[in-house]
Amino acid sequence: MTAVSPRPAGGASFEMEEKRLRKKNLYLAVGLGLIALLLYVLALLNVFEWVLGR
Amino acid sequence: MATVADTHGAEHEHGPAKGILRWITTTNHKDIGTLYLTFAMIMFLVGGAMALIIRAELYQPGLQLVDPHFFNQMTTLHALIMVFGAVMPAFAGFANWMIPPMIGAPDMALPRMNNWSFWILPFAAVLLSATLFMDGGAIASGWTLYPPLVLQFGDALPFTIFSVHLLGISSILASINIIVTIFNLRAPGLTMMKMPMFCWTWLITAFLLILVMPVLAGAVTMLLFDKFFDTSFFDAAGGGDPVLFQHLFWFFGHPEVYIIILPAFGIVSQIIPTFSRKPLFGKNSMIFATAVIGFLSFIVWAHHQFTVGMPVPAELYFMYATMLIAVPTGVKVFNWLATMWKGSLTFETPMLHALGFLVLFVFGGFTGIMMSQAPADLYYHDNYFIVAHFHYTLVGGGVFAIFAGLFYWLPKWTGTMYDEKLGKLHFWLSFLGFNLLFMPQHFLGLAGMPRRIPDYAVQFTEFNQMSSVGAFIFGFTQLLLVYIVYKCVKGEGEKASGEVWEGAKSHGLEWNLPSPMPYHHSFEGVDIQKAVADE
Repeated sequence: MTAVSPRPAGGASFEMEEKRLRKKNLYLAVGLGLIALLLYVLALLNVFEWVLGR
Repeated sequence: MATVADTHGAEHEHGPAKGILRWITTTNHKDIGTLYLTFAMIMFLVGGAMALIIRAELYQPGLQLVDPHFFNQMTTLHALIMVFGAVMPAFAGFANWMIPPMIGAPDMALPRMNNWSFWILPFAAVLLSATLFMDGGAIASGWTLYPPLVLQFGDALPFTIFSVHLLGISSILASINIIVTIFNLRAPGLTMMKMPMFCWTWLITAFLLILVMPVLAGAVTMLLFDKFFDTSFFDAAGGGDPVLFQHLFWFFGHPEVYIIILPAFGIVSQIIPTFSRKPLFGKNSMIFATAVIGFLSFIVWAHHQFTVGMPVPAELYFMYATMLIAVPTGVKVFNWLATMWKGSLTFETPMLHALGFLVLFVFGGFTGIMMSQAPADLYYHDNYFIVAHFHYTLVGGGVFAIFAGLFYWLPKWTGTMYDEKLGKLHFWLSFLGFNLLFMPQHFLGLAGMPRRIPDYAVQFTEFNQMSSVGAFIFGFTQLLLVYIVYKCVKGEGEKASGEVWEGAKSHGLEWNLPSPMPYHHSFEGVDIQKAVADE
């Protein structure tokens, strides 16, 4: 994925490094997406109303 | 740090695909950046045309051109289109074009998702615009969509809400991509604190988007339920509370202001050092100030609701918390001034726009401090004073920064210098037109002219006429911008060097690349680590 990337520890190949990076990207993206989804559900559940003490 | 070469590059010797398919199927960050910017430009003209209808109607007292209901549809759609269709996509375009080359990455981390996050936008825009042609017309409640008024509209309501959902999904996907790209694809040696301000401001903006867009989506989903499934989230008759919607809306709406202005801060923080021929003054404090502004934006939302009524301790809290935002914002303004102090300044078009931004944004900031006072806000609220205030921050701030960034990076994108004379003409006409348009609105507001009303008392006529003339100057000047960009894209002009601006190499990695940047693998043949070390 990267044109020039740091050599992975232990002499791993470029392909392995790319695979590792793709996985890292995916996990972070899914994590952020889940946070967004959680906030949507919280808004629907009126948690904000409860937080505001109304 | 040792590096390995990427053999995958050989597969990408080809240029872009031909024809329309290139744009539909592209996963290239430069193409997607161009798509975002083109879309933003079109929506800017559509939203601008709506503003001109509003200003034409307000040229004289009485009803001249449009009926009041249509006038209110125009104020509503103008705001929604400008915020979601023009300004936000424009900044997303800059992010797509510039974040990868600024951090030494070959592309965005999730290119297919990048394509998707753009292509959701035109469908959302069509859905929103189509409501104009529905039975009863578009919604006319103002962009805040307050119930119970908004629940009185017919077919347009579900379409508008679906469009808002799509726009939110698009923003969240783009934000995820930006965060992942910045965290995972920075060049070796480019630490977070070394990263350019534009990337920092976008990183914080992306977090704001992920945290507030779902809340807006939740709020409008509840509107949909109240309308079609007989719930009463916001219906007092059924035990609900319309004020809850206002809290939810502004929990999104206030950070939204910073979602628009933070990337603008980032662009200006790139431009001022380049044309001052000095490094950015106090960069670390700029980063922390941006983060503090981002945090504060979450805890001040109810200052939009002072006139609705709330307990005095709550009013006091929101008033003081709002005033606190002036501190980190002041840090940024003083740092920009200190960057220019004793610099070797030149005033090319991007710098003129950046300075225009600075003057107009600070002016809008000052009127913001006036309105943060809860008792004074009762007087300023819901009249033309607030219309002038937020246009000074969002147009004077956001849009002038977009102009600045466009002129700054256009030669890097196209390989051709824009026409400097026309660029400067565009700046001066925009700056004068803008001030003629919005400055009189402060006085109209203070004299008591309410907003969102197509008619007014005769004593407001002169200021309204000045404002309308300014609107037409500002609006038609943007056709000149389209022409300047068109000429540049066509390659009509001087060829741009890789560095473009004198000494720019020391202000960012992107200036080490040729102009235009290669379609694939921007950094092939460039020693990134040396470039990072030289910065």
